[in-house]
Amino acid sequence: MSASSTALPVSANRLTKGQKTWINFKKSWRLHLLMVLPMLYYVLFEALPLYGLQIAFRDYSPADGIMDSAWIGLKHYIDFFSDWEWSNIVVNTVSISLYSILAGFPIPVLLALFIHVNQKKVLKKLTQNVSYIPHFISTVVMVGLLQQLFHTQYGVLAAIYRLFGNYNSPPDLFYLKSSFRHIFVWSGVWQNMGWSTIVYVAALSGVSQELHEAAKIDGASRFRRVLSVDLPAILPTVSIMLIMRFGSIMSVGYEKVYLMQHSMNIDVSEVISTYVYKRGISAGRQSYGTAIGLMNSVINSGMVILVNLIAGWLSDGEAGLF
Amino acid sequence: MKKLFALLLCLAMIASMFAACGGDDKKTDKPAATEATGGATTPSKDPSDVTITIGLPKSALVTDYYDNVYTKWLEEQTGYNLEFQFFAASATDYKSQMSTMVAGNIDLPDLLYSMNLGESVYERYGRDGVLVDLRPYFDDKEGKAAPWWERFEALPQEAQDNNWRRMLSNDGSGRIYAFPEIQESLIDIMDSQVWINREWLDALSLEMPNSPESLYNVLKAFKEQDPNGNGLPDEMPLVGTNGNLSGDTMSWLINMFIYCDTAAYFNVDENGKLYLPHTTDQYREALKYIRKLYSEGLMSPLTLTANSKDLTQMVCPDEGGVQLAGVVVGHITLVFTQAHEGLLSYEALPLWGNAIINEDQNTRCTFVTKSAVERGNMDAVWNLLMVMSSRESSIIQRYGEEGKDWDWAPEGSVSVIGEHRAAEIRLYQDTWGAMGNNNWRNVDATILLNAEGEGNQSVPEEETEVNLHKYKLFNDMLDSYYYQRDNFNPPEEQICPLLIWSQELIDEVPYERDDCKSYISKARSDFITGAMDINSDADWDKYLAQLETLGLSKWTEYSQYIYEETVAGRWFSDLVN
Amino acid sequence: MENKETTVLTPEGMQTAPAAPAPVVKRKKNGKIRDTFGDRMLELFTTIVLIILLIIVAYPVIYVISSSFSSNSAIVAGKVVLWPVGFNFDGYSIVFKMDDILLGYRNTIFYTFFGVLIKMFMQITCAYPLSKMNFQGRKAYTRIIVVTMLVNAGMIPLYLVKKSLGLYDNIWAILFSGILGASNVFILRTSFRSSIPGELFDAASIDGANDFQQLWKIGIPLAKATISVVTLYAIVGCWNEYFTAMIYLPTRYDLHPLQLFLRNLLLIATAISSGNDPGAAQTGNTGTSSQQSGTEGLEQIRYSLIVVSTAPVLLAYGIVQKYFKGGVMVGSVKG
Repeated sequence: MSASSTALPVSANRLTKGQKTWINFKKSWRLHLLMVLPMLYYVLFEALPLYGLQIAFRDYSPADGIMDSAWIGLKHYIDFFSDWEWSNIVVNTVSISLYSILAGFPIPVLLALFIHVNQKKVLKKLTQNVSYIPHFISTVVMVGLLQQLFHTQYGVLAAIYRLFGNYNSPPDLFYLKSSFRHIFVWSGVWQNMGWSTIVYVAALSGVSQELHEAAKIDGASRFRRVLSVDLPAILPTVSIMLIMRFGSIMSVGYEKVYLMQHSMNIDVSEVISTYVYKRGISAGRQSYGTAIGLMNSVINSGMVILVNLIAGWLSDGEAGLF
Repeated sequence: MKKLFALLLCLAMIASMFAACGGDDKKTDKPAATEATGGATTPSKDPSDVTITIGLPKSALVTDYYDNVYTKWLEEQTGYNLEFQFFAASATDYKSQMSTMVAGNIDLPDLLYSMNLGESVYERYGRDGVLVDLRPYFDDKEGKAAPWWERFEALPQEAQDNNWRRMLSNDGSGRIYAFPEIQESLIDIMDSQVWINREWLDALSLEMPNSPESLYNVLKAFKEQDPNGNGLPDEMPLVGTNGNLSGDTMSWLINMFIYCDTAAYFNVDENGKLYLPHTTDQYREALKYIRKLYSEGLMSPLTLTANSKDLTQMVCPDEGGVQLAGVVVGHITLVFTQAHEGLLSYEALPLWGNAIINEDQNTRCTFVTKSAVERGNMDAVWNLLMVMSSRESSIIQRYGEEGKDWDWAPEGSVSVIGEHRAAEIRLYQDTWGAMGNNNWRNVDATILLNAEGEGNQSVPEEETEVNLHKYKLFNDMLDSYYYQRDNFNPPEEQICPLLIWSQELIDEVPYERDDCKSYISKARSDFITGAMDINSDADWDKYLAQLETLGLSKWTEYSQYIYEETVAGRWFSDLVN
Repeated sequence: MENKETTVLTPEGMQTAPAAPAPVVKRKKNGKIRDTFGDRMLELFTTIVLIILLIIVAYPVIYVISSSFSSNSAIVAGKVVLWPVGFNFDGYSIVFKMDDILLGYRNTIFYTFFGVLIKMFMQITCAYPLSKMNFQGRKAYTRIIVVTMLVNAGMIPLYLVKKSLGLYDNIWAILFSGILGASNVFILRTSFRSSIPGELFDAASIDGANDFQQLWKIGIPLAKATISVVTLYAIVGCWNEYFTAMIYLPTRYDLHPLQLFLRNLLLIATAISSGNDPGAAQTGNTGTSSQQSGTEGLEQIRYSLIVVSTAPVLLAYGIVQKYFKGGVMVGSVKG
């Protein structure tokens, strides 16, 4: 043992847990500082509202305040399930969601591959940039556009009919029950497919060039290379995106559906979110709306966790969010 | 160092956010809330000190609410300052906004215009004290409410009874939260105004149709024989709107077969029992007929979804366009562009079938919120409401600026519509559908009587051909309407009056009514578009069965009860006179 | 590529085995490897698909732009198919004169500018520490964030909290809403982690840079691509925002964003009837004449409105997109 004047207070292998933590903290205090504001945000806007969540089990009256509103337990849920519509609403929500995933998920991946594979620089850049544009259109505008396009008298579809000499009205695709889901989903695909390719194009361009060179030298055609180099490379990205997508299967955003609803298509267009908005918030039944929203959110979380577990199990811990 | 600075900036922002929490700087000082008991005297304030806030959905047609003829007129009459708070345009959004404001105990404006809350909701708000009970004010017939009563009692007795019943809160307490909008209008009471293209009839040498069969034949001819003469089969034989004012095509067609009121729903049979016409065979016949028209392309699919403005191009096309519509169902001032020659082609179709006694269907009303009481404005608000429902105010709100858009008609003027009526005003132009600042494009809280309304305009010498034709059309349509009532309608006892549901009864059958109504509407669309097969007995039975499942019997049973009480005069018997 | 001879051990002893026939790789004159027939087909195929796609995406956009310059009657008569018919600037001149639009523009630009600053600041400061594998609180913080992702109290409880914090009726209600979405945070975290080699940070530490400096000088510049994508998400989100304003600023008309005005105008113009409105008469009759119509002036400005409200965010995209190089930084650390 050397007599050192600058010896550590205690020998390094005998630091206590608390002292280790403190030393760690001193090292990383700046990072902790960075986390302060975000954590404050989460506490205020995610944790605090949980207190108010209890109105889902009360008959909330603003005059009485949260704590003094009558406690009614699960009555809101009983009300919901005795409403003849409930199964229809859930079915609509899930089917629109699934349809959106099935239609909308593969397309950006394929598109990204095509863009990546194609050699013409101008075409690539043009396609990418133009395909991003629909994403920026707001929902209100999008729905207005759809209405106009499918207008049975003045719309583009009608114009095309007339072009071919058919002066009958085309079917009213925007309002008809049979076409609602298709219009809803495919317009969503149209709007988002370009933008969604960003993530995949980025992943594809990150694929190691050496792999490609090696494959080329081995004589693999471009097509072959796509299959055996590109696809596997973006598989992790694809799977994470898919997981996140499935996790929100019970949430179909209310706005677009609400704008497209009409008494003609109501039984395929009523989803949970529109129901909560119209029969809950708008009708002055705030606690009812909160109760159903809570149920929806719990189911969603369940889905996220479930899907994540499955993905983790399927890929031996490779894929997954957490 | 830059980071530290950025962090400090952030902390400053957070601090200011909490500062904002302390200062509700927009809110006025609130005196202690007083109960709005009748006749309570708050120390009278100098009018110019009073500011009344009015909440309403902003109309896209009003270019300026403050620099506005009506606003200025009101301010001049009362001496108050008026302020506006603008809410969302769509009814559901407006209600959501109000709902969240109530949930958060936020200050509401003194007056809420264009509220269409639905019974249970406003009963609840009333109970919670959000809305002010106006009954004590209405009861003061000789005093505060005198001007309103004078106007109100000019209405026919039946209209008075109906309006009063509707104003009463349905919790049976006799309270009144809703300040009504009352519009008496000859033309507007029709469920459907039907116009037929006379030129086309003449071009094809056809007679005016007077039955479902002849109508079908005429429509078919319109479609196949190119009456507009441009060589293209672009004619649309029949087109209408989806329930827009006076444009209820379905109602017109269905009523050829059975009396079917889209507001009251029920009919009364010979034994005094209520039944739903939508379950009868005649209704099925009607739907079969409509389905035939739809599937053969004789009725435009637009009819199921359109608004009046969608039809305008078809009847009043722009330069170089052709007329496309044979039979049009819609309000003459909404579908046709004013002063357009296209109107000259059309004539009123002499109607057959039932004419709906279209009860004044105004479900919109104005509410006074507790803010008025808290700010000590209650008396002023009532005074404002009295002014708003006065004659001149109602005319300005509907028509605009005196001297520019309308004038008082000279003594002894006779109306152009229903010639026995004296005319009170003379209209130069109807600006309702155009952008401007001559009023709020919103007739809430007004009382407009027939004598002052659109139906009554003196006949000046300078009228244009188009306008004269328009008045002729009005008269023809009115004649037709009265003819129908006399010759086709079932006897009065078989027509069900408007039934008011008390909160107590609503609590017992909360869903059945709305569910059935929605289903009826939806099923009708399905049968017409072919999603359900009207010719298939199986589908029809399925439809009936579903109605039962949704609670039709219960709805009928409760309605029967209300009906019997109403007829016996025992229902909401807190009637005036 | 030469044919290699290999030595193999056979029962007869070490022998040179004939080399495997080399793959026939044709070369073009300039030495590049020439495409196979399959490659050319692939190229053709993808080109066709991309062109079709381009048309599908571009057509409605062109239609909107053309309509905004067309005359009202042409639009309504369905005459506009590709190019403007009856070219005029009427729609635009009306739009730019509408006070509401100008007000909405001013507000939205304000909300977007500051909203994006706040969002990016918060998201980056949250994501960066989480990307450090050896960060002391990493697991705990991540778990908290994941929990917030799963648990959502809903609109009314959040509203009550915000109201009691005073985030109501003023601009903070908008600026402090939805700024820390978990998915964006994770995207950024992943980017910090995987697109920047750890050695760079180590090198910087050795040189004496502290965490803040590392974030500022290394983290942000090198994760530029992802940050620009997330920034664009933020811009679009802020620009299209209307619901928060509708609920939290119902009476402050002077603070309403553009999309809210747009929504009101377009809703009136298209008069979407939600036939299931409890309380509204089923037929849609809601009173006296033309409370729901009277849209004469509005038809022609609809498309101009659409263009005017969407163009700025497209412009922002144009500016930001040169930072997307997509993906991994290769070769920034040699050896």
